[in-house]
Amino acid sequence: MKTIFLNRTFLGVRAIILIVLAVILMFVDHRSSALVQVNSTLSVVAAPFEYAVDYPIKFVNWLTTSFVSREALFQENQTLKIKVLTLQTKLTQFQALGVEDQQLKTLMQSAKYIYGKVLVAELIASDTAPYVHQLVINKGTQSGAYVGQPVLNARGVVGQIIQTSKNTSHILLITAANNAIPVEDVRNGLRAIAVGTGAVGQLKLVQIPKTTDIRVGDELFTSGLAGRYPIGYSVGVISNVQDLPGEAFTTITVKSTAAINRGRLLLLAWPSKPPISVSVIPSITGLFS
Amino acid sequence: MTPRLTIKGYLTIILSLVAAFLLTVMPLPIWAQWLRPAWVAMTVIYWVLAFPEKMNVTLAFFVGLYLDILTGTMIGEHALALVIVAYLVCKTYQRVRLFPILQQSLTIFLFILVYQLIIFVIQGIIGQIPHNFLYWLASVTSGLLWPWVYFLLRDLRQRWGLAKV
Repeated sequence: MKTIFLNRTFLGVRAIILIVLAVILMFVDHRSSALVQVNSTLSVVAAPFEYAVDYPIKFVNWLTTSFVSREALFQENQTLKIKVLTLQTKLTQFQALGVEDQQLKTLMQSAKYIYGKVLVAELIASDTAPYVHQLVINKGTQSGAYVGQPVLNARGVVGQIIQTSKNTSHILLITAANNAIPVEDVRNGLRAIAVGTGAVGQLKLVQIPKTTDIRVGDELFTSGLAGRYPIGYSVGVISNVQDLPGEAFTTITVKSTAAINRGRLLLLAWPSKPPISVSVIPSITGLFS
Repeated sequence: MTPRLTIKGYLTIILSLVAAFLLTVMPLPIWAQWLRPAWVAMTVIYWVLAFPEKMNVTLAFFVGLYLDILTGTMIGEHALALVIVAYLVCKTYQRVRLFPILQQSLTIFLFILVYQLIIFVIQGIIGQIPHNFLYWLASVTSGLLWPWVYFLLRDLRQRWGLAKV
């Protein structure tokens, strides 16, 4: 006969087994990349939810844009044309500068600065937990996105892809506490590592000795070291430098320039790594010829 | 005495969980980001209260895994929290069922607080602690919204006759 009470021992045993299983899963997920593939496969089942909440919002956006007056569109078109013109004139300047820069770099025999391919991706209006600092975009392995790929927007570096499925990817923002990005100070070429703080739009520089020349307002760009992020994209501006007497290093906070919580369009970059042999071998062959 | 769930019963449970997942990823304005109630945890708690023999820790575990994939947290994190909460609910369901609705809301607030505390601790261990006291507001909103979730799901359960005794 069944009682109205649950079979308690059985429930407890099951709970404990599941708890142990969950802890093992967490450990594996945190310590190794063994679950990345599993995660990517499983996120296929998450994609329908992400698109399901995105479509109504897309529809509302579409409605608002299709009922814009002709006047407003005309005006927008005008301003955009002017902007294109000014940007194009600037671009011609930059092309000349770029050639000069390449020549200088070959002279100094340092790595060449090669522009890679980019792809525009759109944010999916799907929220993740606010404390994990992730975004969901509408490009996945089908478009060639891969884990570790850098993501940029018009103002600077946004983050990197940490999980891909067929049609969606999760981006880890540079402000996440488990993300680090190698940077360079524009003013004096000082190299450092910027680590996310977990607060919105804020990073910190780690292990900067107290004697280092660094000031509020210094701009930081990606240094391209480690090869994950391309060289020369804006990361942030130093917003606070503090020398705490008890600390071994200076406490430096950086404000991200990418304005991560604004705008729907992002760029996926394929940084083409400069082949080391190109810059090294000519010099060696030059020595022996 | 153990009620057996009908196919309609299982379907309703799955649909209510789908709705909870949708509400979890539905975009909110930035000011409301931290106010989002723990929809999935609330739904799981309801079904554990309703059918503790059928729907308990195992359901909580798999729902938690799915929630981890959806919200981008470490795999196993929400699973662990939900299993512990489901276990607590299994241990107390006879009392909680008889509580008046306000007292029940308060209990749910405590359950969600435990759930959030577990996630907070795990996030702390991996060094990604939520940098905002507003994090704890989710349990308050969950408690406040519990009566609606409860009446809605109870009406579904009673009207559609989800279980046969």
